[in-house]
Amino acid sequence: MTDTLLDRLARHPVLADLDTEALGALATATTVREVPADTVLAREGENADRFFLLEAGHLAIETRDRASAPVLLQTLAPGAGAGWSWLLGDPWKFDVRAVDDVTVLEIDAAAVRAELERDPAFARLLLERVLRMVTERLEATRLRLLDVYGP
Amino acid sequence: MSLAAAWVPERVRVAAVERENDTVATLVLEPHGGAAPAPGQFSMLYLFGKGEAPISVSAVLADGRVAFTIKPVGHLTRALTALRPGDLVGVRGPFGHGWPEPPPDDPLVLLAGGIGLAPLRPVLQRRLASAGRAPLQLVYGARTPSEQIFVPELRAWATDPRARIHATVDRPEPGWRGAVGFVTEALAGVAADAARGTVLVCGPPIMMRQTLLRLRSLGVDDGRVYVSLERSMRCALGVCGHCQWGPAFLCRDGPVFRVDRFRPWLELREV
Repeated sequence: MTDTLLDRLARHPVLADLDTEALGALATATTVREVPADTVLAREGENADRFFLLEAGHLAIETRDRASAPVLLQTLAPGAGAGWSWLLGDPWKFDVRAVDDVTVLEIDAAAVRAELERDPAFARLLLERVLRMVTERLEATRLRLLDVYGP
Repeated sequence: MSLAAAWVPERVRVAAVERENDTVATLVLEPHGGAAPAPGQFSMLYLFGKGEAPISVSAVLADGRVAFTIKPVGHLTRALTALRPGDLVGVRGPFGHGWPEPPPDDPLVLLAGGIGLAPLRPVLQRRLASAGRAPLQLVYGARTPSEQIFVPELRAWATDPRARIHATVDRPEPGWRGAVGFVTEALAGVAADAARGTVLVCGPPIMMRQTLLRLRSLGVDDGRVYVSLERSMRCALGVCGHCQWGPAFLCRDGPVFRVDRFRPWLELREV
């Protein structure tokens, strides 16, 4: 089981080139979840006690307006990661919902945080991967703000 | 095409007008000129009293009719999109060097933004009409779902087992069930095919530059990537110099360039 998880973690683009020791540390905190479309995996305001690596299907990042209608901010495709509030001890800032049938690697934040404290080398490697994910998301958001297809 | 013919617009009748969305229109023109245009080439469309503009070919039909898809951004393009079947338009062309024709067994990745899908449509149509089995991936970014073009065709292309269509929008609208995000966010999903196939890019300048940066970071060799560039074209014959970009006149030497051959000029801010 652990071997299978290791393979799946090693194949995930967010963790590309992470060494086996670091992947092993993550594997002990990882669960594979297969959820049907429209499942809400995380809710705005709740404790961010996990994060997700998307293997199959699509995720929607949403918030809600005053009428409680979901407002779609972004979608994530296979290979993306979802969630970094856990690193800061913050609650989820947005809802994470499955657009279609989804398979995610769900990673327990408390276990990973403990490992980050224990192993600075692991911390550097993992934080670099998270920073890359955040950076790519920020760059894409800036480009959307530019409205490059405008009239 | 003789030099005289290249300078003098031919009067061509509009056979049909297709409304792609609230503003963009496709003019289907009766057969005209000599050789059929190649995908990626452009013609100069002229309206008396309005002026002339370079417009990319968006389809070459079996009966010789040629389509041009136009987004109204000024008085001339507004007038062109207001034409009706039976109206006359002046046409010079086709001009320029178009998209390469990659080997039929190589993966083909098309990256389009906004109206930039129009010059890529003939490539897509040609590939899907062929017997080749190689995968074709299209990443198409638009501002909103209602500003997408060729929507019925996007749906039809997606039913071809060789094709994967990734349509994404910057701003979703109610009822939109597709992807939301910038084109660059979808590139990781096409990187494997891009790294061993041919990549064609057409869209607004910022979208193309950011796409090239992302492709490079994903390990895609510049020699596999082609871009269609745009500058103010006037004569379309490499004479007037309005479309000069570094050592090239886009109308004569382009508008399509292989990125590794044009990279220094793409990155030079002074030009």
